[in-house]
Amino acid sequence: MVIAALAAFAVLLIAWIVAPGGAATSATPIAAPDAEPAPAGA
Amino acid sequence: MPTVDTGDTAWVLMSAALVMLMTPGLALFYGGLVRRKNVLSTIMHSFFILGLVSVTWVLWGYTLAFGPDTGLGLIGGLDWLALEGVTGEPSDVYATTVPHLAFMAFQMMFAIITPALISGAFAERKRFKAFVLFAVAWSTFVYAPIAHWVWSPDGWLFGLGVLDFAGGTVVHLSSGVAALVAALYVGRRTGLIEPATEPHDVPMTVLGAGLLWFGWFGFNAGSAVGANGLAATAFVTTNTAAAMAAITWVTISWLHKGTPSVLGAAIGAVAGLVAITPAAGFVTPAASILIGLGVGVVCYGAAQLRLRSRIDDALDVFAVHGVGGAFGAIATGIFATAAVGGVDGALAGNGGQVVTQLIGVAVVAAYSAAVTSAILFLVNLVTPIRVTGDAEESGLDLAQHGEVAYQP
Repeated sequence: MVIAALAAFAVLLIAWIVAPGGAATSATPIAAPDAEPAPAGA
Repeated sequence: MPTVDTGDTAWVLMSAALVMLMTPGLALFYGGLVRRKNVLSTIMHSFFILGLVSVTWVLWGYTLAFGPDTGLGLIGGLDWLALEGVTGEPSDVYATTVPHLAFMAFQMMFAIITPALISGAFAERKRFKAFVLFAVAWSTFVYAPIAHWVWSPDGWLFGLGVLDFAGGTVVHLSSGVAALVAALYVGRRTGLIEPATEPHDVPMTVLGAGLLWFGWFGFNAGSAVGANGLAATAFVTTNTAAAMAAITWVTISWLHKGTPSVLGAAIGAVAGLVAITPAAGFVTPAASILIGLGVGVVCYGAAQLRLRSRIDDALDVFAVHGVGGAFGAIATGIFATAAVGGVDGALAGNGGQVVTQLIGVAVVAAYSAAVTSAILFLVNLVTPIRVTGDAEESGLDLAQHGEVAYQP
């Protein structure tokens, strides 16, 4: 059972490595990006 | 043969739930601080880790951190891989009045929030899959060993006498230093002219800070691993230090910039919670007022210095958790009293405790910096940690997750 549990996680780990790294740019922008805001004042 | 105490068990399980709530609280705290185009990705970094480290902790994290020592006080063995042998009966070593599984679950929540803390430093420009791989490696090769050194009775820093009641070094210093390394490694955000960006939702950040403050009672008072007087002491010192640091930070920012900052109240409270974490079960409530005052001044100064630097630690993780964690660890060596936690500090005539604390701070900081650097380098070989300029411009919510937080 321990081996099976480790193997299950290993499958996910491999999936994360081969998964797409996210669209570099969006073909269908939903919202406009923010303009550069002013500095924080904490 | 240890036996289960129902009161202690109830408190430890409840504390585990309180600490669990801190990670979604951190997600809101960080989420409010970033720009609106990055709020979902920032929240996701914490929320995904809640799932990710829960699983790795069960599989191998707990046994590496708390398993029977392999001989040198450096790491636990694989005896408890996938929690084999960790049952509803108490451990012979840890929290001997509660089920071993309850103690394991309590510690799991600490392991979860620690890598999530780091995420704020390189917010708004890191690739999600790179962060996932980083979090798995960091919790395995940085968090688990340091937890073993400091909290296992066979750990070498524990043997040296380093005091860390609830994670000033294990959680906050380690993550704070890792945050600084990550910010330096990944580099500044594209197009960042000013040293910081305006938070997109201050109420979200204040709500997150409130949840963190609430959950911190489990973090610190729960670290007494029993429903007892030590837990009550830790509860009071925790609240007092947070309160003092919050009002100190607000006062300084008021005098410095002319207005009492709401954001400053939230960040100041977190700084106070960080600093009291290693000390909560070793100092008196009066000492916790001084710790809160001190950390409010020191961390505010650290944040101002960071603003004057070229370092883009986006959410000031190092200034609050790194500096605050180190300050709290050293303050523990100064203010500890045997009447509370069984160990005296410098003010009670044991000046050597400060030296011991300094050694602990130096070792943890150096180890975290070195191994975090190596992990970032290796992850970057597998997948670029930094997103493309276009993705950074359009925002990580859309570019990395295909979602947006707010509809126009």
